[in-house]
Amino acid sequence: MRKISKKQISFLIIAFTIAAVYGLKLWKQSSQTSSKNVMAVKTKGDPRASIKIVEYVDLECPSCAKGSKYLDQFMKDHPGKIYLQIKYFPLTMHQHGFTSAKYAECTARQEKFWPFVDLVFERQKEWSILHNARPAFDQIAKEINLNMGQLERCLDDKSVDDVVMANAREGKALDVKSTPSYFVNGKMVVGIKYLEAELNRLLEENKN
Amino acid sequence: MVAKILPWVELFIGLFVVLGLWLDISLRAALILFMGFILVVGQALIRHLPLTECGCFGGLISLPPYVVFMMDSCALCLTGLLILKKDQSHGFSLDRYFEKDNK
Repeated sequence: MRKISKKQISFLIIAFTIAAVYGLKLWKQSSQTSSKNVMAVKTKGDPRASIKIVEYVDLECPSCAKGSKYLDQFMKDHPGKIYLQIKYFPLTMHQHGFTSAKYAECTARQEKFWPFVDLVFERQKEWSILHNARPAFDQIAKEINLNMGQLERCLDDKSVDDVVMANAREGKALDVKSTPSYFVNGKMVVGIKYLEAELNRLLEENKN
Repeated sequence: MVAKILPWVELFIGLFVVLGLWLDISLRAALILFMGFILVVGQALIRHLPLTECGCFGGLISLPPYVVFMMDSCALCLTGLLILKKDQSHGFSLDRYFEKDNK
């Protein structure tokens, strides 16, 4: 067998290095795009809508479940008016707040965020009293046909914790203290009653 | 243009030095590179330019110019030593492997 020459090995090293550098570049770009996609999955409505809401939510908070129902109905009644983005704000008083947020983030990575969140809110009374709510979340995940292996790996991924904690830190910096806290076109509104008032005010304003 | 080409030149020179390939050329090229870096960073230090970092490592590592100057000086000395002590420095190089192969 003919032995490889010094010139050939040099050429191979150069070619391999160029391929590795561009490969890394592409991989970095695709991972950035996928994190942007995950963010987009946690939104609802028309991005060009005049009312933009960022909601800081704790999935174990009963008012958040009510708020979610209210917003769903409002968005149905006023199509194209609202663009909603969800951010996590797990409260320490809720034992499953952080775990449920992690599950939600993992479902977002499989583009099943809203079906999961809707069912989690719907069954909140059942799982919130459990000592360990993970089987209840797993059950919901199965019902919405998540890839369970991928979900398990995702839940062990530290970057998921980081996303949840970063959201919470961001909320704290914006003076969020309780949930649900909404930022309606940048204005902070706490609780459903005030959200309702603010949305109706904005609708009136838009009419005029 | 220089900003686009130089990182590739640095990468290949570094790689060839580590692998011990074309060592005579790659070590001399590394020596010239380090001299260039020392000149550029050194003149910035002498002129007291208000630089908090030289931008030598992109966004990855942030080092003040005087640290970079010291690092480059150490690297220059080490490269000079490798050139002077050619017999020892070429011991486990790919160059030596190919030389043996040719004999």
